[in-house]
Amino acid sequence: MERDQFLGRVRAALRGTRLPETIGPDPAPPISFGDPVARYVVAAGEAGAEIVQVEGPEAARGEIVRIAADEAFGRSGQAGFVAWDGLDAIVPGLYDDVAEAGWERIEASVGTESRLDDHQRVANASLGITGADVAIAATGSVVLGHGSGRPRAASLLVEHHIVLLPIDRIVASLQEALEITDWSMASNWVAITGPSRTGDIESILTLGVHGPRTLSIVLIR
Amino acid sequence: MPVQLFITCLVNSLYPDVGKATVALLERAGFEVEFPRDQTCCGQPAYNGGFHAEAGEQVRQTLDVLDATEGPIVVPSGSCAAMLIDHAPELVAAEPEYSAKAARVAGRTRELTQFLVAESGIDLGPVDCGRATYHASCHSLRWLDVLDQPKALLDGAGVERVELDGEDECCGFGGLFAIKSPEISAAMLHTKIDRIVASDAGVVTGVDVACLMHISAGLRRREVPIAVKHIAEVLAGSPE
Amino acid sequence: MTTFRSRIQEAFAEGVPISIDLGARGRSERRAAAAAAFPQMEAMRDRARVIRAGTIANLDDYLDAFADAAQRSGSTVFFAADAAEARNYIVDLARREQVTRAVKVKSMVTEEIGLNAALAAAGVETVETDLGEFIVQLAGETPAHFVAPAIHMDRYQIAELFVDKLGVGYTDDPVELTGIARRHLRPRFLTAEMGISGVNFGVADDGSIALVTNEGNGLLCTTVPRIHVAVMGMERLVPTRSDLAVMLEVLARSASGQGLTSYTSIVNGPRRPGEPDGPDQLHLVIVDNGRSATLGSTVAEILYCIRCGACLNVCPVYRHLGGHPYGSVYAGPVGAVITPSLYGLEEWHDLPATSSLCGACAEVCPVRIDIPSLLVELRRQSVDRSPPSISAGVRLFAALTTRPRLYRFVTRALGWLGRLWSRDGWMRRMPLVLGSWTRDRDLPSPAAETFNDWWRRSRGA
Repeated sequence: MERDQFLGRVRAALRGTRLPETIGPDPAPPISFGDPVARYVVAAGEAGAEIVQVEGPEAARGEIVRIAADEAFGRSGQAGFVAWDGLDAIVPGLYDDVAEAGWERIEASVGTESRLDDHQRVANASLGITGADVAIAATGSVVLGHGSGRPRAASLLVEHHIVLLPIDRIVASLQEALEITDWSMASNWVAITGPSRTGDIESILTLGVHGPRTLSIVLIR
Repeated sequence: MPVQLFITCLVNSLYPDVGKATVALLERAGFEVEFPRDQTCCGQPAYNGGFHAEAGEQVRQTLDVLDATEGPIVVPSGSCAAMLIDHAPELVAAEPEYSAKAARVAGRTRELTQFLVAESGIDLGPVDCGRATYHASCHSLRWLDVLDQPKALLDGAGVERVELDGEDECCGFGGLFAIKSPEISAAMLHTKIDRIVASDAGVVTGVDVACLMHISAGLRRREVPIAVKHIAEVLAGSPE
Repeated sequence: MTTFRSRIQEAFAEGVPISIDLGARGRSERRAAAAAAFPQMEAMRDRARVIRAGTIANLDDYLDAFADAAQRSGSTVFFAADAAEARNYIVDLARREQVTRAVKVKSMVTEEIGLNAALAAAGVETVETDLGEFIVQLAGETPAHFVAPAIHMDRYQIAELFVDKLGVGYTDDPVELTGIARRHLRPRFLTAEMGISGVNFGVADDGSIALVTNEGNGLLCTTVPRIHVAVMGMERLVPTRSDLAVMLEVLARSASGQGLTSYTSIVNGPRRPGEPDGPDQLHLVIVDNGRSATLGSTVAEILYCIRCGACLNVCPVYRHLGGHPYGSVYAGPVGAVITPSLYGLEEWHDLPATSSLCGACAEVCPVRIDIPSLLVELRRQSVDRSPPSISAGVRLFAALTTRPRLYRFVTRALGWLGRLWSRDGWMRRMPLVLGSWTRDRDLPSPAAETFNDWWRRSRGA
């Protein structure tokens, strides 16, 4: 149906019954925490993420290498990883070190014509490494904007997702996170809270469904 | 100022002892009780069933009777009190004369335990009725916020009380619902009775005669020997 | 056409799975715990209602702004007057784009419009990817709940189902069953040309849509395939991103007791030049299908609903039945209002009739919809469809109760008669309409003396 006709039906319906409701400003005070970082660490843990705090980029590099070398990951038999570009600005030497730990970086770009083949290639990656644009203390979430150089696959198609999170990215609430985000940067944003999960079988919580099975957050002071 | 007793049609016909116990309690609390004899039904079953023309007739009759009196209106049934407080004014909103009556009556109306806790320093104790459990009738709980008051009265009277698991779950009565949808109504009743049995209480009590009637009807059919008493009967120490 | 009552009788005869009640109670408890742990919950619910009420009251303007903004972001917007238009648009798109396989995220509105069957008829293999929906699809059934579609099945049934339909070895361990589903569905995600989702909220300001899932399938369906089709009930808008934040705060807490679900994504158009992955096309299908009629009705408030399922979880009727006996895509308290509203009271008046009006739903609704009032309003519109015996009884009772002296006389007489029929103050078998009471319950007999007569006798007044 044409838009005008469709909206005409809506207008006609509202004619007799248009409620005198207007949305004024929100009177409630913003959500805040005395120690947002401490809150973040607790909340992320409760959501099922592994969270490690490190002092500085060197320690972060060491931690990532430790996680990447973890035997548990190797058991899946795949050693490919996908990652955002530019993470070596936060942690210099990151890509080389992960490669040295036995992981091969897989090109994550998907072409319009070669989509099927490209996705099959990307699906070979079992490890994904990303940054985060902002993190939410209330829920222990990380918010990722999938702009240029930031494949969604790195937080989605892989089994294990590692997030590099500089501590100054933490804000208190979802409201604040949505407010400070520069939406023009990407067509797709996701707030990730813990690994993927379901309660669909007898309401029993199972982690690791279609998205990553594990989420590791490296919190860099 | 006297209190006006709105006894409710179920108490009048089926459970007059609840009414007598209510009178006894109010008098013990130091109130003079009056009973406007032309009262009949607040109109709730018709209202809930969608029969708003009939409910309107009943509401207007009730408002005429009650508005001709003075003082608090005390009701030993949460759902009927909620009808007078919340729904009667809506039903007659388009009629200025009755709308004014409804507002006045709504302002004066209290469920019994609400009234006793708020208005009186009633000395109740001690009451021994065995182990009792409290069923929180839906309308009393959700429309009138009545939960702490009856429990406070029971505890204050030294009643041995156990919490009812799922106390806020509906007993399944729902007025006409009980006969229009008997299978689901009975299923809800059975769930409630299972909870009451599991509580190990010898008496189940509450503030709404409709629920208590439904519960006692099911207990009786299942031959479960748990007594059902309105809170007024418990507090007044009703005869066996 | 069956009635709700006959479907209830059938459900009881077959035995309602206990998992329905257990699952509903579990989710109710988690909701209560999340609300208690969130000091701003009540304020957020108040605000959420204000936002939804304001949006619905001006829905035409917000839809207009939404469509404009979405188009500027590169989305294709289609307005579907009804289910058929929505289905046809999507099927035509699939044909044009030579889609052979589509992957779907759980979406009530796509159930409502009957999309899967239409796509299948057009030769498109449509795979449900949400674990519960996947299970239900394999079983050839419909979902039993908005949030937990397979709540009516236990692990053993699911295990048998997987053996039967997927040819895997038997396991009833939920972790292993989940792993089987993940491995089965992964290749389907990777080879589907089209991903279909619903929309939790559209943001009118900028044309973006929010999708809320726990499993990750939402993101997979809307990232991997080259075409993303998002189907949106036209009422599912909020004005701004900060309004969206409020809605998200109350949605996951109300639905599953979480602060946020594992994945909350905000999508604004297909992928932009330079973005490494994501769909190349995003189609927004905005569906009316009876919503404008609801908007103009006395139960318009039901359009505030954000499909959290909290009302289903606390409803004693739902807990005793599950979703299937309702016979509609939308079950529980919200379903009892929206189903007759979208599809007509003629066929569906028995849904709103089947409630005790306990109010548990209104107590938990994140946008504070007064569902009991809406049920009473629908009953008011249906009185002509009441069984004659009940209408007659109500009218008779009204006639009596508006004549106090006659009322006193009749109640006195009934007391006398009732005692003739009863044993120990109870009646066991009653005829006609009261027979439906006495099938399962005894009926108390009238007292020897009414309170009114006692008062006159003992007080002389």
